Amino acid sequence: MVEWTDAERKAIASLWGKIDVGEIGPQALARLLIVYPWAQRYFKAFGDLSTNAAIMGNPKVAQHGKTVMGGLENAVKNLDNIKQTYAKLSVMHSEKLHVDPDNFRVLAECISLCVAAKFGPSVFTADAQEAWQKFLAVVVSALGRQYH
Amino acid sequence: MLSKREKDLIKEIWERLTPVAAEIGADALLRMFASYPGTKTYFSHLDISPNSSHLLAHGKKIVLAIAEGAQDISQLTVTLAPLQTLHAYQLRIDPRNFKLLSHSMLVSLACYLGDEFTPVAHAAMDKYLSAFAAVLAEKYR
Repeated sequence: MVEWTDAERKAIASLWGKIDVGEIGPQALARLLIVYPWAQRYFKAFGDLSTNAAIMGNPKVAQHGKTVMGGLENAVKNLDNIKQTYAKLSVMHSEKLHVDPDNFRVLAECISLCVAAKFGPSVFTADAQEAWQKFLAVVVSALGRQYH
Repeated sequence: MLSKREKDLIKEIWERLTPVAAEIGADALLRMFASYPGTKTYFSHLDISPNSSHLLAHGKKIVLAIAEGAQDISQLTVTLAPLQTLHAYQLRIDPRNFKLLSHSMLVSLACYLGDEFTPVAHAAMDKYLSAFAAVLAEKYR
């Protein structure tokens, strides 16, 4: 079981309260596809991903980014049971989507960087970052858990 | 691979950050220590509390080395030769930790640069720091 300190719970809730999933989600997914272009292999159905501008303006990328980021809501609401909460999603990503689970980790890094750029050092302090990254690490682990 | 445009961008950003090298460096280190406590094991000989003179001095050293490398990225192996030796034979920091510092450095840059930390800048910086870390680890074995 993951142990969360009160400070960590507070930090995660506070950050989540500030995050606009419709803003950060698309940014994070776009960054994943730009900074780690091999991740584009999973999005052949998304249309034009040929340039950075195409990726950043792609409505399917934006919609999917929002969906993925919005999915974190379940984790925030179930901090003490993230593994169970994401079990089905994990199976889906493994059996149906065949996504290399390392991509979850890398997307989490992109999310953290978007949050950092958006909120700056006074909100995204070292301690806030620690709590947020720990939270994402648990989500990443849960998503990779059902792979075999 | 870094394009010419990316190399110019990286050089320009680090040149601009040189005057605040200590602050950026210390911030990155603090973030790394907070998120990855195992990294603190390499610093038992220093005071790494926030705002300590050790932390600022050490942060400054690291950022200035990164900035120096950015001046001519094609010469990274030459520029970093002394640091390669230091890390391989004396410090012997597990090179997996370089990734942790690189990520923490990117967070510091994102916080500091805000909107300017565009996806293009992010990609360029990530590639540069990866290359820097790889060169730094070359003499390990």
